[in-house]
This record gives sequence, C-alpha cells and structure tokens, in this order.
Amino acid sequence: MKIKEGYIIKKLGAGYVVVTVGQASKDFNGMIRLNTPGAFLWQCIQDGMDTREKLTEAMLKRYDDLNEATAAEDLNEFLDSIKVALED
Amino acid sequence: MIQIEAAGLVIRIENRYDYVKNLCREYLTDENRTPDITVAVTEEEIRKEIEKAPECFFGDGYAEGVVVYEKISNALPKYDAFVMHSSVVAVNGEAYCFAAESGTGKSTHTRYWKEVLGDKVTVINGDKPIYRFQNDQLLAYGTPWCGKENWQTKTSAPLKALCLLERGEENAIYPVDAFEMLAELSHHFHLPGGGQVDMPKLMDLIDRMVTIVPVYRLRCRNDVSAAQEAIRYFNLEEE
Repeated sequence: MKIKEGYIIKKLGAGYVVVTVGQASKDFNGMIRLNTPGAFLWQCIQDGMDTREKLTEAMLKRYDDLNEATAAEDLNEFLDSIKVALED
Repeated sequence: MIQIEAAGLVIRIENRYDYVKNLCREYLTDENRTPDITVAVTEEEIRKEIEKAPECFFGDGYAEGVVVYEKISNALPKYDAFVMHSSVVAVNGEAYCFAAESGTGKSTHTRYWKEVLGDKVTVINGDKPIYRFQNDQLLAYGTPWCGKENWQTKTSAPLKALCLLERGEENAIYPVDAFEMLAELSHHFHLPGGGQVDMPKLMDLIDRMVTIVPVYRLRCRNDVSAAQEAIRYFNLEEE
C-alpha cells in the first residue's frame, strides 16, 4: 500500500490531521483526524512499510502492551479511516 | 493602481474599476512605498467570478473586489497571516472572534455585543478580517472587505478567544478541541475559488493559532442573552 500524492500530515493542537494539497484537493476537500498512533502508522507507510504484516510488526514493536489481535483490529480501523488517501 | 496598507502590509492593487479604490479609501497609502504583495485581476477572472453566482451580481467593480481579496488572502500565509471568515470585536484592547456558517447569526451576535457593551466594543471587521502573527501574538486586523453591514475599523488587537457560533434552545459556552474547530471552519480559512493558497504553511499557522488562542463553542438563543452569557464568561462587564 502507498499514500497518494498530495496527501500530507500536519500537526494540529494535540493531534494530527491529513489534508490535501495541489491536484489532490480537487478529489478530496475534507480532512482526516489522526491521533498519535495513527500518525505513527502514517509515517510507517510513508517510510515504505507496504503490507499489513509489516505495519502490525511495527505496532507491536512500538507499543509494549499491545497484543496481535488488538493490533490487527486497530490497523483495520486506521486503514479504513485513511482509505481515501491510499492508492488502490 | 492603488496601494493600501492592511495588517501591516503594503499591498499594491492594479485595479480596473473605481469600486476597489473607493472601498479601500481609508487604507490608501503612499504609492511610492515598496509593496509586499501585488495583485492584478484580469477581465476573464472578473467574468468567471460573476458566472459563479450571477444572482449576487453587484457590478463588475464589486466582482473585481472579490477576486482582489481572494488573491490577497492567498498571498498572506507567507507573511504569517490569513483571512478567516468571521466577525471580530475588540473589548478593552483584546479581540474576540465569532465564526460560523453564513446565516448562523454572526452579525446578529455582533450586534448584541454592541447592544450590551455600547462604546466599550469596537467591531474590527464584521466578515473577513486578516489575522497575523506578530511577536508571538495573533492580531486581528481591520480590512476594507467587511460584509454587508460595513462594519470595520482600521485597528488591530490580539485575539483572546475564537468562538464557534451555533444556534440552540439554551445558551452555553465551553471549550472545544482544535479538530472540531478546523472540521467546521476549514473552508473559511481562505476564500473559495482561488485554490492557490500554500496549504502546508496555512496549516502551520492554524496549529500555531490553536496553541495560543482558546477555541469555544458558543451556543446561542436568538436573543441578546447569548451575548450577555459570553460577556460574563469572559469577564468583560467590569472595567
């Protein structure tokens, strides 16, 4: 998986937000709210982790108290929330 | 061609119609000063603006004015500034701004503040003020573009609170988080149509704003009591 061109993450107060720039703002004019773990996952995808397996692994490494089942669930939820920003 | 000074910036406007010059008369400045921002509007851009909302046609000069301000607002982020569609008032040297969808009652609420506080309140701008960071403060500035009530004062004041107005059965005021504010106001931060604004820079400015300026939800009954409630909340009744 890969993040589409023109989708960028910005800090907003205590959280983060994904907005579009340039051409992408014609397709998607809204914004996506991300919390700190969401911003972490976004960064992972940007760093080239392109499969659920790699992302789950990164989550488990980052968060000590997380088990595999919860990680998979959280990842699904996250990917669903940023669907519009992911390349098909 | 005219030159104006607004928000501490010298802006050169290559206007075609006198409407803009008349609109900006209080803000005119020496034409020999070096401009920070230069804007020019083509006939084609004016036509396009008119086509967007033919029912709001108030003349070619008016349409030129709309496009000019759109271009100015797109150029502002470079100067740590932006236009936010809102009504902003000053009381005791500090600014309070009210933002909402058109038709929610920004002007009405502003009018109630005038009713309660009388001479103590100055409307800096009733519709499209410029906000600009200066020395770690966010200042609200008067500009010639100020909505149909024509409320504007050539002054500035540090922004103390941003209130998101909403209609309701009961009055209420409480803090809300930055995302709620942005989700509601995102399209108020630059005038629609241009799309030329530096979005990453604008987002940095908005983040900076929510770090230093508290954001409130202000739920209002449709009478003066909502203004009284807010004025009490901000302790503005006494000198």
